[in-house]
Amino acid sequence: MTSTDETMLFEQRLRELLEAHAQRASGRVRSHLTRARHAAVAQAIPGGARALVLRGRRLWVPTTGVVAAAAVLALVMRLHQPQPRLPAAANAIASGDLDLLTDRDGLTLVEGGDGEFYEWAVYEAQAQPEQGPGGVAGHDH
Amino acid sequence: MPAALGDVDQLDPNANLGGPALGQFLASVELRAFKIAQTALRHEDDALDAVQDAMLQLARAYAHRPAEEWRPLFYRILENRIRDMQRRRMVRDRVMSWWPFTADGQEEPGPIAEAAAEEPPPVRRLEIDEAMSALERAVGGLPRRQQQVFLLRTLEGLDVAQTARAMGCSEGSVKTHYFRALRTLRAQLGEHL
Repeated sequence: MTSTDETMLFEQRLRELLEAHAQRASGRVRSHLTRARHAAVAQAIPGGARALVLRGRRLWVPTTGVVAAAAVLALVMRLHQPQPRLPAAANAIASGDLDLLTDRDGLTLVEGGDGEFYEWAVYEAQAQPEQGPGGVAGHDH
Repeated sequence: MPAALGDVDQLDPNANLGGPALGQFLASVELRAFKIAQTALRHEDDALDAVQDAMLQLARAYAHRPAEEWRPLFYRILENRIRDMQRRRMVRDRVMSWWPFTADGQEEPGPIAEAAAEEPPPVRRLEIDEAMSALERAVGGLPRRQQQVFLLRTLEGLDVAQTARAMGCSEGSVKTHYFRALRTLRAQLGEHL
């Protein structure tokens, strides 16, 4: 027997051994492979339901139309969701801030260099330290 | 029972619009593909995932191609998938080497799941088990390219050109890898075969 013959015989034995071993797969392996095969075949059929096989579980994914409809529905629901409302106090503060920002009188005082107003305000504050926040309690002007 | 080796050659090349022809092809290769993936990945669930991904990818992208192209394409996809999983596993192992807790992802199979569909007689089964254990050790010790070329050529029966397509390398490389793999295996398995 030549070296080539021996090599061919060795290859043949290896092939038979591997084939015999491959055919001895467990039921779990065979089951998983069968499900995967069915999922692949379903995927190859145009317009058919598509299946994903994940670790022994099969998830049927709806066709593209159903997915698109679900996406549109979700978008519509999102758009019609009521906007969050601020409490009344927060609204009042917000509108007050807005008034201050848009008040032209305030800007006029600064731009016109009207120092008299500020001098008066400082004087009032120093002259009546005992008064409350109202600034007029107990005084008649 | 899956079709025997070579059944795919009898497929009608014009009947490849998904459906029966593709199913027949996949049935003819699934067990050997699983064996190849398991030898490379050494993990049953990872091997099942790799074969499943290769099936889905073939169906998604190449079902319309002539049936005679499916086999090298399928093994090309499987080869890429195995390589991706090995790379991912290397990264995961590096990360997990810093993690103090270990967990084995392998599920414990039940006796029904473990039962093989067709069992040879016990004596023959023992011979196969012993020889196969030795072969698995020897094949597992081969460099990866030699291992894949050997399994595609010997187990799947691809010729040199088909193996080159499946591996994404030249035919010369296939011949070299195959020759070296055979030489190593013969030296290691002489008494077992």
